[in-house]
Amino acid sequence: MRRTLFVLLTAALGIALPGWAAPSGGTLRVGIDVDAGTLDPRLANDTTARRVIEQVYDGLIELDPQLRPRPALAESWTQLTPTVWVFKLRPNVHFHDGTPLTAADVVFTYSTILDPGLRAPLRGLYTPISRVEAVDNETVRFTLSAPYAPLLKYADMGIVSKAAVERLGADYATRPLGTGPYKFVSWQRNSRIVLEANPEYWKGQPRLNQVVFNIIPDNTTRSAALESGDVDLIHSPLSPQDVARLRSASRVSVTEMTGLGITYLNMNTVDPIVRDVRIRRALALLIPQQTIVRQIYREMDKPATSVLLPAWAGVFTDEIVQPGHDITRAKALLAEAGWTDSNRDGVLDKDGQPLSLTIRTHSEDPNRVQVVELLVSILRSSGIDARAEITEFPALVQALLAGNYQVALLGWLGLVDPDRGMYNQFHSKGSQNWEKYNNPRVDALLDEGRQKSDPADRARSYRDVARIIASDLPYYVLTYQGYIVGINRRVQGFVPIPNGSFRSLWGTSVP
Amino acid sequence: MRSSTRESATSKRPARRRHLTPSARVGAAVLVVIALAAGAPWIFTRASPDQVDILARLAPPSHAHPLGTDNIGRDLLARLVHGARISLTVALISVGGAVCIGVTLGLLAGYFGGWTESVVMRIVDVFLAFPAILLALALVAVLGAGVTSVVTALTLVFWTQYARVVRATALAEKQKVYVEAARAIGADSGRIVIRHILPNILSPVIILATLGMGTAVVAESTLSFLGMGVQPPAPSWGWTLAFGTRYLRDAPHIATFSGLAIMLTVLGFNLLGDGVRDMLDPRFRPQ
Amino acid sequence: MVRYAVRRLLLVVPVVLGAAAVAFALLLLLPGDPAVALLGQEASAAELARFRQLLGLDRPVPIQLGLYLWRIVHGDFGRSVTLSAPVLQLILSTLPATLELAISSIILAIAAGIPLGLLAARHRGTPVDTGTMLLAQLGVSMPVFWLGVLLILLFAVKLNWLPSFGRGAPFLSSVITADLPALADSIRHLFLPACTLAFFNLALLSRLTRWALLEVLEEDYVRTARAKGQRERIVLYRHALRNALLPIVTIVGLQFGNALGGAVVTETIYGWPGMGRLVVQAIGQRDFPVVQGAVLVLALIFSLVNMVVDLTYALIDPRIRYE
Repeated sequence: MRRTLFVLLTAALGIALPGWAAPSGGTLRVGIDVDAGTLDPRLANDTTARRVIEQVYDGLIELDPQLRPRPALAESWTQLTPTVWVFKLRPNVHFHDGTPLTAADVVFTYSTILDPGLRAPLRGLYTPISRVEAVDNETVRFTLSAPYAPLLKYADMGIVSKAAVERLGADYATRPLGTGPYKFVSWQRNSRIVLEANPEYWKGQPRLNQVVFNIIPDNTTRSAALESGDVDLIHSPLSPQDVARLRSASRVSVTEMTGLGITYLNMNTVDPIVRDVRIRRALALLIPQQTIVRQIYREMDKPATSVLLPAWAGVFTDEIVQPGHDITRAKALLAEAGWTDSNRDGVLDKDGQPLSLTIRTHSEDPNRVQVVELLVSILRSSGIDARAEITEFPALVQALLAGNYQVALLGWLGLVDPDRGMYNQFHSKGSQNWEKYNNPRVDALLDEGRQKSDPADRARSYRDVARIIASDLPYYVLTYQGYIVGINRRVQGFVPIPNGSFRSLWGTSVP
Repeated sequence: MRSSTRESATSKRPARRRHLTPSARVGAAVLVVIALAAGAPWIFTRASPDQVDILARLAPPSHAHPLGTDNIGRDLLARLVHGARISLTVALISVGGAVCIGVTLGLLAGYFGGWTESVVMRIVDVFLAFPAILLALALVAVLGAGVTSVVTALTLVFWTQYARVVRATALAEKQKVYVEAARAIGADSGRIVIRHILPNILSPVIILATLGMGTAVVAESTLSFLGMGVQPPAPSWGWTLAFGTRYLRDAPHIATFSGLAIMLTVLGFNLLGDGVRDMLDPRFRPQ
Repeated sequence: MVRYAVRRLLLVVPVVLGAAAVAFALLLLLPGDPAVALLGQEASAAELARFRQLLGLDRPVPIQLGLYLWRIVHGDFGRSVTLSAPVLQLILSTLPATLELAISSIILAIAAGIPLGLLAARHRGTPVDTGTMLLAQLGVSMPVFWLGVLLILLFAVKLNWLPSFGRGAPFLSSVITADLPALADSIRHLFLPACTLAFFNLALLSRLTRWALLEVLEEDYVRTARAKGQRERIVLYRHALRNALLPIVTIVGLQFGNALGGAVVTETIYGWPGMGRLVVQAIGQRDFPVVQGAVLVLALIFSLVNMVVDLTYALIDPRIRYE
């Protein structure tokens, strides 16, 4: 009755809200920061696409709030040998067009991801898979080229319908069709994506009738929309000052947890100046980490102790720490490295060269820009000729790839496993080792972490790596990114997960 | 009401004025203040624009910080006073560059005609086919953010209007009797252009340039606002405003004062430009 | 006149192709490319190289440009690199939003700017005139994004009267279907961005109207009308305004171009799903086919509008000669 009244009132006053054409009943309006690039799970490269895809598709597994794999499309799995995994599919699961899910769809999904021609952005996560094959209609076997412990966590990749992909071709990306709790309805570029309940869902019919993703790029506007009731749910990225305000908004409940992201300084270990580990340590000692977290991030992100994430249960320890804030020691280190102000111009120099440092970051993240501005001013007052260079993200990545940088402030997201957060970053053959860090001991430890399946063994390897990194400092990890969800109090049953997943929308309702 | 309109009916056709109108004087006065800030910032504030006090960030106006502090705790007054130099420099150089290119090409096109004219005017057309802000944005993206890139980009965006006006004026002047006479007695082209045609295009160019300065100030701040302008920690007004908008609800003073600084400067150029127009060429109306 | 029109139309073609070539050249010079933008930081150098090859970015520049122009001439705009859709489809789906915004802002500017100019001209020399023109002067001096931000702060944040982001139902379709709630929704979303975008043009137009009127008022036929003892009101509306409209119409045409360009900033502030935002994002993500396609379409619209302005001018004022 109240709902009908509300709908009538809405219509009468013309306060039609986003999703105004909604059928009456539970509609959840999500405010989200960017438009999706594609809705093909294999090609998705942005957080919005992943959030939508989680509703339209299922993976073989899904991650629970503690990031442990639990059965989804795969009812069960076994590791026959260190390099052979077998997944048993759930029977009687259907795609939204009514066709049944079979092992062929799973094989198709993974083999196309592995095909370089598809250009799947996450292909690198699956390359240890050497063969995927259907044993029978409901069984899939994965053969690996080497033991690969993190595989199971990456098996949440949405399974596509082979028939639909072959029928729709490139259009599949804009007309997604999966097995998930919600069906795709419409997508208005840069504006909204609409989904509706899939009554045939294998877990049971979802409680919401409709989910609308409203794309609101500006953080402040998005959080104002939650405050005013124009949307029901928003999540990170958010601006610290908005989070501070949301915490006291009566209509809103805010959940904060440490997420799966870090913000860090990447230091080029082959740069003529930064290659000296004493310079890197001096830099770390000059960073007022606590102040930055308190003032710029307003405790939304937390000060990091090392490259280990608190969310990696069993691996994380706060006993491994990076150098803290100590200006005197920093100055001593700089002097020890040979940098003194010999010509009394206020800038340290060595062999007639001034100590010049350029810190890069990307313009899309205002907090990082502010941190860089602050660091530049701090370094300057310590006799370093520091400069900021702020460019768009593609230009920054280009510079990183070319090794054309000294220090860069940026971040990693979605680090569900230590391997994801360290292997490619620090292994001398790692694809994201832009800082050209090269340490045979670290290489060996990272390889061990991949191949061992015992969690305790893996934890030991990764802790050893983190200890070395905290001392060698190719990375100085500034913050653990917070994961924050702001939700209208009338929404029930939503369970935030640190990786930002919206899988719990299946059981969410809006009375 | 009626009498006032009558008054205008009996007044003369718009004629050259010998003095600036009162509003143009206001404009000039505003600009003098801004120029003083650019040239001698210490008159206005002793505070450093780079001195960071992170614990005092986003502080409202107070005795210590007359306009409050910015997003990382720098004195806003000092930022804005020192920012005047960036805005004025960008405006002067980019408009100056645009005038040089535009006048040269416009004169060439207008005076010589033929294929020179066709080539120049087609280039102008191509440049005009882009929305100005998009072109500037793309150019800065190519050149890399920074003062030099912004100036270059704005020069390349602005020159076309001067080329168009100068060409039209040169075309008209060329056909006048005195020019034809000069040509008949064998004066060479360069001499005719410099002695006879150039003086006549001066007034429209001066008017356009004065108004163009205002446009340049806005353009620089718009680029910085979109994250593509002058690099921090340079105290660009647009940059300050861009961050001000992020803290609109916590610290509205940042966006308010930096926006006011931009608007006052532009207003100064516009008022002065209108006055200069009334003085030099009351019939000329830039579009 | 017809010959002139045809010649003028033919001129549009090289201009648009020229613009496409300039856009192409600019994109090649950009640091960072679509491969980096699309595959992001997760990709390896080898994967990036392979992707560049797939996109044809490894070929010699003249060949890339040639192929590009060839495809354009055949109506093939290509596919977006980052958005998994044909460029033409992206443009056609965002263009209506931009046109809706630009046209409504022009209508607002005309509806308010001309009466204001008229008011100022009628009351020339009085405080009404000074006040109106001061307002107009402020209007042309105010940075668009600052105005936008102030309006959001006031109407969306403080008063919470209007939404601060996005577009409602498409205006035209809700008018056609007479769907009142949708129409209300559409107007509520459209109001702030349209006002923001209109403000500059409104101010400019009121100044121009005043100038044009005052100028016409000096003309002989107006004096004659006055001398015949016609009422001032009739002189102003029947004689002066009608003639002053000619330059005003031309300016409105040019302003439409301005509005399309200004939409880039306005759309960014209000999260308006139009072409301006599409292009700014595409530049940021190095989505070359989208930038190229959008620039081409914008250049085409610009050139056509300019052409119409030129033709109107020639029609209105036969003294104008085109060599």
